[in-house]
Amino acid sequence: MLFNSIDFALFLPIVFLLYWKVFGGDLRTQNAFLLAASMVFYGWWDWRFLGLVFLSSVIDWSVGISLDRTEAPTRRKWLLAASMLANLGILGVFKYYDFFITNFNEAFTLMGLPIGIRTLDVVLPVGISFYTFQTMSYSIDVYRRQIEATRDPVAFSAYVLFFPQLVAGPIERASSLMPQFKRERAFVIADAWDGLRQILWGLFKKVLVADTCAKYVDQIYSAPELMSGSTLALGTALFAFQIYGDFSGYSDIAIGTARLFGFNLMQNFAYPYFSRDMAEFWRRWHISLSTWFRDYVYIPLGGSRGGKFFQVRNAMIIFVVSGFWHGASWNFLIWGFLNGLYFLPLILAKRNRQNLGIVAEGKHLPSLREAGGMLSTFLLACMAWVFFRANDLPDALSVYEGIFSKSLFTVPDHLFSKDLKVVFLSLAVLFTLEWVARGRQYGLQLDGIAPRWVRRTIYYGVVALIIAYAPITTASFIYFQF
Amino acid sequence: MVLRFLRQSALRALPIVIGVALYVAWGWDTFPAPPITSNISVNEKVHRVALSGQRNVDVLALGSSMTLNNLSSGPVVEHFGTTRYVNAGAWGIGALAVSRMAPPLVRHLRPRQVIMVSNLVDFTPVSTMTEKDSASITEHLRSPGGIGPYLSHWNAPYYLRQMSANRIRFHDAANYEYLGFDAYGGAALSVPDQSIHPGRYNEPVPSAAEIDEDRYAAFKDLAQFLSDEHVEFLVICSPHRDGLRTSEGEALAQAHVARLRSILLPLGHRLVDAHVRQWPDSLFCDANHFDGEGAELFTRWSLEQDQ
Repeated sequence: MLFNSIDFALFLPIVFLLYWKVFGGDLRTQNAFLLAASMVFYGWWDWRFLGLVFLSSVIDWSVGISLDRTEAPTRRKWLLAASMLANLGILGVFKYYDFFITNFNEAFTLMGLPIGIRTLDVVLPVGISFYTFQTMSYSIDVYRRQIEATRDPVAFSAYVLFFPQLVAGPIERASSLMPQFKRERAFVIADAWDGLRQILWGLFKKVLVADTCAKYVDQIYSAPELMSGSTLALGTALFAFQIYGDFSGYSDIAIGTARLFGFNLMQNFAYPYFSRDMAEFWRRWHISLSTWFRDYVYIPLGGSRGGKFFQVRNAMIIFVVSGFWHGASWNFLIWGFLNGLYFLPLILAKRNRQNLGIVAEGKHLPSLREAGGMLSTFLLACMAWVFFRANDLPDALSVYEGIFSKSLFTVPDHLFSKDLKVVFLSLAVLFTLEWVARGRQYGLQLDGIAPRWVRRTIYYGVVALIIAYAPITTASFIYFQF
Repeated sequence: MVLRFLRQSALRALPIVIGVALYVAWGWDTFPAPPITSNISVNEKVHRVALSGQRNVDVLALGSSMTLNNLSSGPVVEHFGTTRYVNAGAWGIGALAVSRMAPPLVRHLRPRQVIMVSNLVDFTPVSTMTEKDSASITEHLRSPGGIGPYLSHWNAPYYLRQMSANRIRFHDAANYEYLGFDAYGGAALSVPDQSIHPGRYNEPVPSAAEIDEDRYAAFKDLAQFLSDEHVEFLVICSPHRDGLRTSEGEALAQAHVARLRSILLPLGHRLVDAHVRQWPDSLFCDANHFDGEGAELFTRWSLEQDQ
């Protein structure tokens, strides 16, 4: 079920009402109801893959209990390894098997030894990368004794299948979300309003920013070899906004929806395009995944300890693995590698933690240095997004070839079209509000910043913009494919 | 507390609901048909047929924008001596789409006579329609109407955007997408000289390389289907604007007419070739579409040939 669909618009209030009014009295029945609602939500897309989510849940729930029962370090290690193997095995079969087989086949064919292993051609289950990482986080946290294993299979399944963040995150840490399923939840009206506002902001970002950009981006990237450099540059910049609007919009709706049910999810995006360097960008983009890799891969590898070689090695591993997490293709691997390269000079110069605060804090406008930093970070991110968006490597190279040609200095196609005017209007609203609220959780969290009548005017204005300009064709969320 | 929240939410949403309701009420006459297919014009036509409740008509016109715009309703009604006539022509479709649209419409309206106005353009791969679209048309024609089809094809942005576009489409005959239907479903264009689109006006006659064999196969299926249903079929070959005629184009047009004739005549159907006559450019709004006056002259002349 898509968040921006009529199905979800009907599903959400019904589930909300039943959750608080009918099942609100008892924690166990409330969790059971949430689990049932989450199954409906996921099954709406394809009920057959519910079995896979349950398989992952059963494995990690059982591993968690076994880990709790044993003190023997070797046995605990084996149990954790079993969980990792099962989860990564599921991910490997459904997401990566065909990629490896295709590349093996091609490599052996090049060597004159065609092996012709068959690919599986299976459908990628929606959200598989998200929920497998979430269940793995549970097993690791129990192994590290950061949390106790839960005996309650319903609460655990509800944690894995929790519908607001099941298919595209935020990838919650068990230590943060699991306890919320174990304690009584009270309805707080201020939280509910806050959740509703965040849902509205997420819808704005998805429907108005991402979907309007998508139309232009799709046209350009469908035949990049035919486009001028300026058109490709504009298309790439618009893709940067599209993917931000799409994914952070989804996260906002997920977090807002969870708030309606009394849950707090982690912030997943913290205004990444206001970052002054690439290190800051990666602290602000897809935070739940970056911190997952930091906690469960980077630090166990040694993190920033050891010599420069180890720091560089660890950082590159994280970025390449992160790229591969997004998709089984060379494009994503190169995208990850390129971002790793951006990161290296900052690590080597020990400047990767120089921009930790909010940009231009306490000021209306950034300094020239800050503005320059933000612009260069955005440009670097865009250069990497080319690999993320292009259909394949030759297309990505076509885009670069076009951008670095004389035609970069021409007027982009359709620059003055009505569609692009809507795109620019929505981007102006997005970045104005996000700049004003850059110290807050999301762009419409303006309490204490603007007077009430201004806030209300903005809320109604955002709704009016969605009604007036939402595109007819709704695109699915980009991150559903991961 | 929960109910209070829901009550307050509903109250705060009320201005938005009222605003949208007022907007819809204000432009109700331009409210679009449910998007049963991807073609707006087809949707409007099929919805109109469904709402009219008409069955057992005498004459049904089927085809592309040439049927919609070039077939003038007055001469058709006079010629066949009946007002039980429906023009189901729609823009944005070609011979393949017409063959998909025909079965549901013919089975629903049970005409004695089908007319199609067409030329080479309909036999290029300009548009398509799937079996699914055909099924959607059947389903829509069977539906009792009301709000049901709107809910089953719910797309709020589509309805609001199309309402805005329909303000022009439904009322401005100078717009090439004009859908201001007359009593029978025809839509005569009236584009002033200064509004004529140069690209459309000078669009060349399709070349041999652009002609698609699948369209002829679909046309043959249509002719056979109508024969099986015991429906008479009259095809009128619509001319290209005189100023666009070339020797190569003429040869292709003649070959096209001969090919259609070879499909139609063995099945007992008829064909009128209006391309054999010269039609002054002043009667055209673009390369293939007449204005209202041209459509009337063209229809009258064509039907006179069908004696």
